[in-house]
Amino acid sequence: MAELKPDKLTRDTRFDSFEDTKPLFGKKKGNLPAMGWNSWNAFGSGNTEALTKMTADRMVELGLDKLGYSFVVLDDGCYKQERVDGKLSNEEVKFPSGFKKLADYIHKKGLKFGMYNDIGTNLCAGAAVGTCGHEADDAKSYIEWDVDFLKVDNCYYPFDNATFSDPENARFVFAPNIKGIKVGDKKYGLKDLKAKGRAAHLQSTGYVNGIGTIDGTGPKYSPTMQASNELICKVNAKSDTETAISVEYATGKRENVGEWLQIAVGEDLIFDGWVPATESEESFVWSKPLKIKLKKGENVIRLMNHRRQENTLNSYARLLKQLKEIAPDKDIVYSACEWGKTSPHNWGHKVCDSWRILNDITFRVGSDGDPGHGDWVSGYTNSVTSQYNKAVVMGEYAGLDKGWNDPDMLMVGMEGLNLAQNKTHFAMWCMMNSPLMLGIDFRRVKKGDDLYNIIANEELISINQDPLGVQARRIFSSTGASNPVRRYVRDNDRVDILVKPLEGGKFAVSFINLSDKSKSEGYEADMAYAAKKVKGIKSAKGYEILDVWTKKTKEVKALKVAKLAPFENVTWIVTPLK
Amino acid sequence: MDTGTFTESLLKLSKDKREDLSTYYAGMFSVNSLKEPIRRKNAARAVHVFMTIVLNSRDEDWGRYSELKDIYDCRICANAIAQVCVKGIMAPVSKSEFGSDLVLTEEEAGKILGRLDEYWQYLS
Repeated sequence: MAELKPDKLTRDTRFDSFEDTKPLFGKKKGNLPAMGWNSWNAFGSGNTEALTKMTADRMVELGLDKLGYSFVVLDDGCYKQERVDGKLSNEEVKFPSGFKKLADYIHKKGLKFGMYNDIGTNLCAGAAVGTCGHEADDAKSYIEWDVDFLKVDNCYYPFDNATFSDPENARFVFAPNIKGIKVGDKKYGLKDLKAKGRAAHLQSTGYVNGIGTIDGTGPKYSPTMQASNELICKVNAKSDTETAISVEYATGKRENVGEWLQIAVGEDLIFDGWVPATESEESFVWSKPLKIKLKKGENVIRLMNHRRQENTLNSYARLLKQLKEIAPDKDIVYSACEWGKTSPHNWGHKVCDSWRILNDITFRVGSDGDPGHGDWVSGYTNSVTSQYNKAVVMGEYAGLDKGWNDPDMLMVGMEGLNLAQNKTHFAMWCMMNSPLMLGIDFRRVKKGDDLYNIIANEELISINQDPLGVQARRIFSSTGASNPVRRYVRDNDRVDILVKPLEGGKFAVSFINLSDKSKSEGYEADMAYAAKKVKGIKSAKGYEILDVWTKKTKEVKALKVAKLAPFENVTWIVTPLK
Repeated sequence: MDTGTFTESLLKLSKDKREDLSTYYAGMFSVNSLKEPIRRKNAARAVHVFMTIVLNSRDEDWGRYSELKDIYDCRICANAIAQVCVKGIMAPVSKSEFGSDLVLTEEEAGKILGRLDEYWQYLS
């Protein structure tokens, strides 16, 4: 196979195009959040053909298909460890009939079939069958197997320091340390170079680094902050002129200091590639002069590296392109599982239907006979609240014309979560327009039991699947956070109020107690504030409310609750009264 | 020590559960990877599967091991790392790090097998 290299960028795949919402390769937009089942939380790598067929059977027996759950997705653990004649192949002990026969079985049930792969060289569990460099063959296989959904991971990715990748791959995605530039005869030092976007790091010995995109895998960074940055230098020209630019730099191979530089004059990208490595991160050299054209007046010189986002977008796009070339009219729902590393909410709408926002919600997945373990809180990403806290402020990045934030698959039914937590977990995901991918062993579910009553809650599902396709916004947080719509809050000792516009002038409101204590201060949805902040919400003199859990309806003048038990949510579908 | 040698040691220890365990290992480690030196994270995975399949050992709460800074680097190893630490079969290399990518030495491998054997006897 040819050496793997990052793609040369087209205009459509550059950072500068992220804000235009034009999807690539005819990717269909307008899909509501996907609903279905994924094998990972239920059975981990131990999923089998038999367990998958059982799952499909039970989904129909339980009537979940009638409620909207349609996708049955095989996650990691289904392929042979190595390619066979360059192609993906089924692991023959676990999936003896092959994927086409399994797809046919699932389709005959009226369900849809999903599979998993990775933009890197290997899958996360190690099989050497990642799509990197094999997109054409793999797309052919997926079309032949009649796949309806693809979840694509990011392990072993060769063009960034992703999970299992060489840590020195950071050299692809960060600019080198920079001291200054020369344009023609004039030198511009640090005082002339300003950071645009996220702050770069000014070092005490007189240079700047951190020019790139933050790693969003963990819960540290707010999703509403600028994930990336550039160094800008404004250069005035007395007339249109051709001149040369050099950069004083030193390279590294770690997060914040790389070997790849992008130089643009305005929107014209004039350099995008490696700079020769220096002896050390503080051994500065001048780059070879590069010809540039300046216009009369002010010119904005940009020193940057957006390759963390651009490389990943391009890699997801490569598979999409191949799928569309083979079957241009087939819409395969495309779920990007790169854990929020590259802030995919900035670019995911171009190629995908949803994008993961963080690392995994649990690292203790189930197996046959073991439901797995989920946590309500954690110090990292592996809990309901970690995922919710980030997703709840990301509404502005989601929509029918874009796609959906994905706070990972549901853990409803896992050990470690009590009934109230399971109910609130499901309500949160429904309000936030998250994909609803169950991870339950359905042999443990009976119609009418607690688990069933949660996952089959028609009112909550209707909120998630409302045709307006607007993610809920938080209009109140009892921590007192100003701007609750966008402020990233991680203190879980609080009550949130969310509102979500629905079609027909209705809306949903959810009062959520994230804490392990009863809260009895009384909470009222400020409808004047909601109407100001959330398009489609109007305040009224009275409301008819339908409680999604009690199924009772009543008329009220104000939307308020007196108290909430630990982990409780009160969620209503509200019809304003005229 | 290479991955194949380490997993073979575990298979020998597994007695009449050898076939079951072998099926799991075949799904976890490709033929090529068996020749590679075994890293501590993969040793943890192999040991965790041994504990689950051969010893019927149940997973426990991660406790303080959830704070190991490299535990989340490997999503498929994370729980295995926590469980081998919680059960005292493998120890982190420091207070804050498991040492996921370090290669297991022969001496360490010997100690792990010894502790597994003791743990098995304890469970019996």
